[in-house]
Amino acid sequence: MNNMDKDQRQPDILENLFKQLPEEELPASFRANVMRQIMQEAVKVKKKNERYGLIAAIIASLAMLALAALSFIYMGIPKLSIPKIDVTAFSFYLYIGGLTLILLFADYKLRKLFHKEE
Amino acid sequence: MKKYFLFLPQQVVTISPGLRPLDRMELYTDTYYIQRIQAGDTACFACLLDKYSSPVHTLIFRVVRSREDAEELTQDVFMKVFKSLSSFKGDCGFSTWVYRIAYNTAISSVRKKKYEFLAIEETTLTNISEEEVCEMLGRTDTSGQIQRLDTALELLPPDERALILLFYMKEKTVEELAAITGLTASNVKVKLHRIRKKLFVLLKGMENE
Repeated sequence: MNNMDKDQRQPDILENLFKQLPEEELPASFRANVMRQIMQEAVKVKKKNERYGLIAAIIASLAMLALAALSFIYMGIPKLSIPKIDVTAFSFYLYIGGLTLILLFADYKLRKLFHKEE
Repeated sequence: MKKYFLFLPQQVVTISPGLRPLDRMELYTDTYYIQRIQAGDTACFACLLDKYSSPVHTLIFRVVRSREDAEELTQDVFMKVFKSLSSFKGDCGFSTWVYRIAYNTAISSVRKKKYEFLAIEETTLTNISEEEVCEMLGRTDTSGQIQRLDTALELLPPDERALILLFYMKEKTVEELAAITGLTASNVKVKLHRIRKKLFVLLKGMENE
């Protein structure tokens, strides 16, 4: 059994025969096929990591928001008093808000048109 | 960021200046390539593929005995290697780790197919000596000897075939074989001894045919 240990291994008839067994050839396309699969897998892993990162950021943000809400409700920090909304001025705010939205929309469309011409 | 370019066979690998001097000294070793791949340089995997694809394919082909299956399984092995590269802790050699994946993949594949193999009685195993086989093989030319060995290997169960191939062809030590197969070192030694005896019986049997 001693010849089973690598250090003490003596050349035997099987060792010589096994060394002469030919290596099997792989098709020429094998390397390219495997590397293409590997690259696809790497992209998949990267996207998965990005998704996990985004989920972690959302969870952290929600946790922080929940904590903030808890501090508002239970500890009363900071001491705020909600002002009563003046209903008469509501139509004015609606007008200003609408105007802002229209201007923003026009800006977006014009920018898009300008960049397309470029 | 400043980058250095290093030209390796069939590809270009970029080396970031952040690497420690020790890392640069380990250029072209498996450890270096693994570090690069883990750092996001996926193209470096091609170097590991070039080094191990042929020996892994040879082992798998000799276990499964089908060229198409062997090619597919070799692809599976390298995909598994890439996916679990982060779990490689370096407690054994990288080649041992790759061969462990290849061995498990090949053995799982042949187990599904349920081949039948030759059973040899215990008394027959004890009655054969290495000298007899040496003498018998001495009367045959090299190609004939290899042909006989190939036929004898085919008659062995796949796990035994894989073990003896890893020992003689891939020159793995008993400890490495234990790491690859999950057996104990003493169990590997016993198995190798029995497989050698089986091969002697099979080779001797071919002379009588």
